[in-house]
Amino acid sequence: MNRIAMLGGLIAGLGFFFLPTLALKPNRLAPGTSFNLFEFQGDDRYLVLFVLALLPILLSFRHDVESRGWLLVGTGSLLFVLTLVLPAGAGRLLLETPEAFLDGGAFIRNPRILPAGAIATGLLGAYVTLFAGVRDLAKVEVQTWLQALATWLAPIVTLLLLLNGTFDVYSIMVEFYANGAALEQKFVEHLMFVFISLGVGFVVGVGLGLWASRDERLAPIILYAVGIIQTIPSLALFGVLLVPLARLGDQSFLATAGFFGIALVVAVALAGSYALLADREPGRVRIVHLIATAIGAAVPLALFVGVLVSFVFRLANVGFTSGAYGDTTGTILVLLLAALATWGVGRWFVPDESRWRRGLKVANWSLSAATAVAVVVLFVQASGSNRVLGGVESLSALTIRDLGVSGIGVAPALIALTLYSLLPLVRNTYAGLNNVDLAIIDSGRGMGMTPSQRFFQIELPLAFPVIMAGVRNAGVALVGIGTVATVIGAGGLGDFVIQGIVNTSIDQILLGAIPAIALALVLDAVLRGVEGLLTSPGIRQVQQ
Amino acid sequence: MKKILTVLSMAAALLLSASAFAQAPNEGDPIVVGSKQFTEQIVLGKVIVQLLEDAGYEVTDRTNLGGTAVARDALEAGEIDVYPNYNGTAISNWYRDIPWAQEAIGEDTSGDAYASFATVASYDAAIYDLIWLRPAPANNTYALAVTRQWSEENGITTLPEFAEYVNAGGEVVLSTGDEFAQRPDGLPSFYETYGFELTEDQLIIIAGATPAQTEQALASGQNNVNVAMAYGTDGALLAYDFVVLEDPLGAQPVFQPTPVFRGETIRAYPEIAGILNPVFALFDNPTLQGLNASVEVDGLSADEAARTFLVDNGFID
Repeated sequence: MNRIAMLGGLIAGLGFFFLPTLALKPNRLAPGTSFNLFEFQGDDRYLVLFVLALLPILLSFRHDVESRGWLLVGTGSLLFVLTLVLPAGAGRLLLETPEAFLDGGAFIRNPRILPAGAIATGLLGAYVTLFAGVRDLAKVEVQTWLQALATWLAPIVTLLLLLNGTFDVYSIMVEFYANGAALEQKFVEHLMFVFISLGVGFVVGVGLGLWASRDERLAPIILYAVGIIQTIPSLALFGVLLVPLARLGDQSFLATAGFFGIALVVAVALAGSYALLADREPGRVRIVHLIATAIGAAVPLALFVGVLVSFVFRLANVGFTSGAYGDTTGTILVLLLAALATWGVGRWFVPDESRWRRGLKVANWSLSAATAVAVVVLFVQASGSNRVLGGVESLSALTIRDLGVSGIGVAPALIALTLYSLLPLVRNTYAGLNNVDLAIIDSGRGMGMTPSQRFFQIELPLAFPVIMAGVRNAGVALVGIGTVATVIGAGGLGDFVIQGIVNTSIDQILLGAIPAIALALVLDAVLRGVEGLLTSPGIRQVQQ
Repeated sequence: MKKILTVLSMAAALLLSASAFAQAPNEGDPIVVGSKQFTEQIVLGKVIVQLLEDAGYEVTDRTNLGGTAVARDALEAGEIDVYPNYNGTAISNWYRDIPWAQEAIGEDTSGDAYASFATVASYDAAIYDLIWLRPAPANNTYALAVTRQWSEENGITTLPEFAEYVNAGGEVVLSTGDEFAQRPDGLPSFYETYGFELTEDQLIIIAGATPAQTEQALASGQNNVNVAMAYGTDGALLAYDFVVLEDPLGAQPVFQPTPVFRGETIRAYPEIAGILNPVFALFDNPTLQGLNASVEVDGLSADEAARTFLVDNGFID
């Protein structure tokens, strides 16, 4: 018996029986009338869905695992596709004469079809059934590629139907066509928030985690501090950042560069004197010296990183979203894909250390280098755009605001997102490094490894999966938290979500939420892939 | 250390080379247009953006910025140069805790649009160097909305009629946000002016609710809601086919949308007033409601809605 399949059938069947399948809304906002599957005016073909939904329950009693698996995969896939296709047909019929199905007083203007609860439970039930079938197939060791085909057939067919316009009747698609161009831009903005803040957060977070794992007294302080940061509400953080960042933006570039130089000299002096004198100073003086050094180092570093990140974001934003450099962005994409392809082919399809493998490696290196060069070219092109430094007459007139730092917009959003990414990164780096078995490190020492050899060849590879789990955690969280960037005027997918909430337009909320969910899932999968590829094979074996 | 120095010098080189790409100067800094984060604000913000762009100014679009606090702070800090504001918002927010200002403005919550506007504009100019241009003849004030069916069944279209109905023991459930329910110039002002009062059972107070949410409660009829807090120029009122109860005695402060500029900006470009004023003069309640509805109900983007309006009225090509 296959209990999972039975669960899938129950979810889909009960959903179609008790929940509405569609809602006909007289306009974008008004709630409208809901329709159950059985209310589609005697049209029997919609009952196919109900029968299909209940089929997995019967199939789950079959004993022959292989045939059961194939039947479940077939039923699940068909149910998945038809759950979306058949109600779309019903929706088109409803839209032909909406007034016949709505209250007399309804204000009918561009009526819409909202997919309702039964479609969600139908998809979930279909997916569970599909999963149950694939599990059966795995049990009897059907070839892997057939399993993969079984898993992905329904989603791929659905995607093709989506591109074909079969689902255009649904309100979310109507919303998509009205906002398609904006959606693309918001998506790219969102993507860049996540990548830039995750990149900076990675450097800072892993650094702090490393520091914490080397110094037992500092560890609780660092972990506590990043924990506290996590509890600050984003709105409060934006409010605190607005005025100082606005002031910083007003400063001239040259004056700030001068300040940066002086601060750097002070930091180096403090650090140098600490290194030379610390041993001879009494405890209290030494702590003051240490704190002064830390602050002295943090100020120029934060200033430099902040300005650099804001400027890179501005270049990337202009370069990727203005559409003015389509040739260059296209080239980058092609080079990147080619680099990935040569790398993938070399890794999986070419036996080790053949001549082909070496050739592919060289091709991969040159393609990667070319991609990097193309990105630099794009940035140079974008930096010539009016939108980056437009209106600046000379270097002396250049202000920090011209480089992208301001009290509203992306600068505060990036700072907030970077801070929020720290907790999982620091915690996992610390935990990963601290949990490395001391006996293994000792045996490394016994073999005569130097401290840096022990770190790079023992501790880091062993801690790597845990650190990567932190990166995944932070990345997925950032996709979600990134939606609040809209309240400080930084854009991103949150624009749709917040406006949808304000207007109580479900379609608009979904228009922001669905790409965000997809982005989080893809990011998680990609980072998981990176983790798998970079984890040493021996450690992977032990993990399994 | 060597590596760090290399990285630092590379970054510095990047910054310097980037600044070398700086282009020939345009006229001064771009004008930064902001707006708060609801439909009418975004549409009005886009109207300002498009008008200024059409007049040849370089404009940075920062509409859809955040709540009242963010937009106002950004304006005071010089992060934005202009955003559409409401005199009623000024009264109930940043002049609320200044006793001497309250004293002068307090008399003007009587619905006398001109006096209330003049007071707020003069205080903002004197204290914050913020210049209010010509206000639109619309009033996006708080209002009570009912369904058309309910209005017809009970013959109620005005607040005095509503007060009579409540005092006669009629069934009422009002869905409202907490701010409107508690602010002295909100619901209590209706009570005082029209002589009725709702008990706690007759109120469903949702913390932080916007009209969109209270109206949806009314539209779905959940918890027997039959009256909802609304804004006068709400586009959604049209979608739900609601009736706004008239406020003949003007119990609410007046909320007229008005472009508010930083003094510095408007002194540098005084001709802007001449560009924006004739357009804002057209924004009466039905016009704004229609614009809001084209975004909220028809799903047009705010940008398209603003452009269509400006082109139809011959302000831009």
